[in-house]
Amino acid sequence: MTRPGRPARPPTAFVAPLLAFAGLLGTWEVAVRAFRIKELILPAPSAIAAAVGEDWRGWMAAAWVTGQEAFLGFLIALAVALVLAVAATASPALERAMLPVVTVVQLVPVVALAPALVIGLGFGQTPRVLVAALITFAPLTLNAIVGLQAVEADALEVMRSVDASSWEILVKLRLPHALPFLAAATRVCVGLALIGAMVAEWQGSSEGLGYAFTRAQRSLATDRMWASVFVLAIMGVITLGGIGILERRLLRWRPSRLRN
Amino acid sequence: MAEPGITMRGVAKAFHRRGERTRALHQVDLSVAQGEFVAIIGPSGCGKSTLLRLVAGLVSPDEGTVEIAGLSPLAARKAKWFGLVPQSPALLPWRSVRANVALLGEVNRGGGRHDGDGHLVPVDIDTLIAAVGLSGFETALPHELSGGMQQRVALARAFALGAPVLLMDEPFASLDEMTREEMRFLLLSIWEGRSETSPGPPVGSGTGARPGQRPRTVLFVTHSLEEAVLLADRVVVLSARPGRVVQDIPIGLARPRLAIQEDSDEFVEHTRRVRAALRTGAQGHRNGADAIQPDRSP
Repeated sequence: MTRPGRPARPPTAFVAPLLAFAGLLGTWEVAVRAFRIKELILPAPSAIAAAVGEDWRGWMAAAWVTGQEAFLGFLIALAVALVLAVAATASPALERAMLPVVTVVQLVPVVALAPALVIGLGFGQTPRVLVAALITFAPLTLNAIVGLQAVEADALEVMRSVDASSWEILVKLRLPHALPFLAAATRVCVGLALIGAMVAEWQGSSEGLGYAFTRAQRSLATDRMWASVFVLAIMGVITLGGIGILERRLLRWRPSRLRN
Repeated sequence: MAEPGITMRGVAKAFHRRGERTRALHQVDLSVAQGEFVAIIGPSGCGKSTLLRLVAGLVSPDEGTVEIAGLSPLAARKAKWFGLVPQSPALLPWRSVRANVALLGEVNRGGGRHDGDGHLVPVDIDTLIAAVGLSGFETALPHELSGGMQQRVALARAFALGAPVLLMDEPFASLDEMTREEMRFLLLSIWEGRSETSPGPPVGSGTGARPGQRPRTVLFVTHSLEEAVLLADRVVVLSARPGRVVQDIPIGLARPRLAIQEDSDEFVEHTRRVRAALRTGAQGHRNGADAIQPDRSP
């Protein structure tokens, strides 16, 4: 019997997506120049990059504010999702009562609630954090419930055969089993939380990427409008990269990771 | 602590699904002596696994009683008297081989075997891993192992508690024939105490069987006639659903059991008798007949 080694990540793994992005931006740049598209309609990537370069400290500060709001919102949603998923796993009646509510929250256009939340909670960070939390709450909760409950029946019976407590089953079996499900939900929620925080900043905010966007809009500076979107996208890519690294470290036991 | 035997008296169990009641077991009487290896065999859906889960206290009987050396299944479970080996290896994929084998020792710390001073009897996990032939794989993760190797880990996990009762639910059913054969003899070698690295004695002060010492009680559910005859001291044949004991056939093959015995006339004769009992059970079920008397012929 020989122990199989883990397949190494091919060195070209990053090349293909980089080429794809370069192709997209190159085509965009060429199209804007070739068709003489007005900057008011669609600025070229080079113009957007110049807008970022002019005041990169300002953009970093705005990104920091929006990132904080998104991250805090995500953390709150994750904590609530875990508590609710554990409760739903412990009580089928509670799960039956809770699932329709979670589904309704998922269907509510949370971003449209932002103005109402600002009126109710003021112009501070609270409503923006709340929007980020509300927009990520449903995917996290639903994935946490599936992850906690979809454990192998045989593994559950092995634990029960030695009278393991519900807490021991939760900690030793259910929570580790839920990790890949939460990782998948987190990947989806990174974008949602950032978008939620940014859009919430459109309402009466004086900081963040959303505020930079609306300020640029008022002066018809489309390059800076696009710049705020670009910065947000780059934040998302960096965060997803970090999540990928964490996944490779924490979830290396996932067989699906080895089939590729 | 007394070595437990298993007693089931008048046990019945039905399941309700979508308003329909399905009787899984009906009037099951069964006694397993301490240290005895009993195989349960019967047609698909006859309640073999349910019987095992009733003993383990994972489901409760609708009628009748189940006792393990005088204890209720729940009390026996609390005392960590069971080593359960389910159909799938049911390993935790994020835990290494060693951590999987040690898993059940980490939970319900109130249970398990204690010495006279109330301290838990230590289990040598690495000796067990060596006994199932996985030395060198202690830090491997389950997905790095073949199906047979994963089942070896499940076997070691069941033995790791030193539990006096092993409950095995078709543990080798998903393996290929060659690996099944290998696993049957591995189980026998550990249970009969022939393994060179056989881990400690059974109840009271160790984790397995020493040569010459009668090991723990085993209830082994299987679909395979040959497997039942090769492994067991007795084969209990259940009828088709609702399952009840059709015949109780002693297997007089000498121990230790060896591969060469599978070609003996005695082995073939035992297999023939179990097969005939299975057919009679199916026939009896179709005719609505009552249980057939236990076969006590040698």
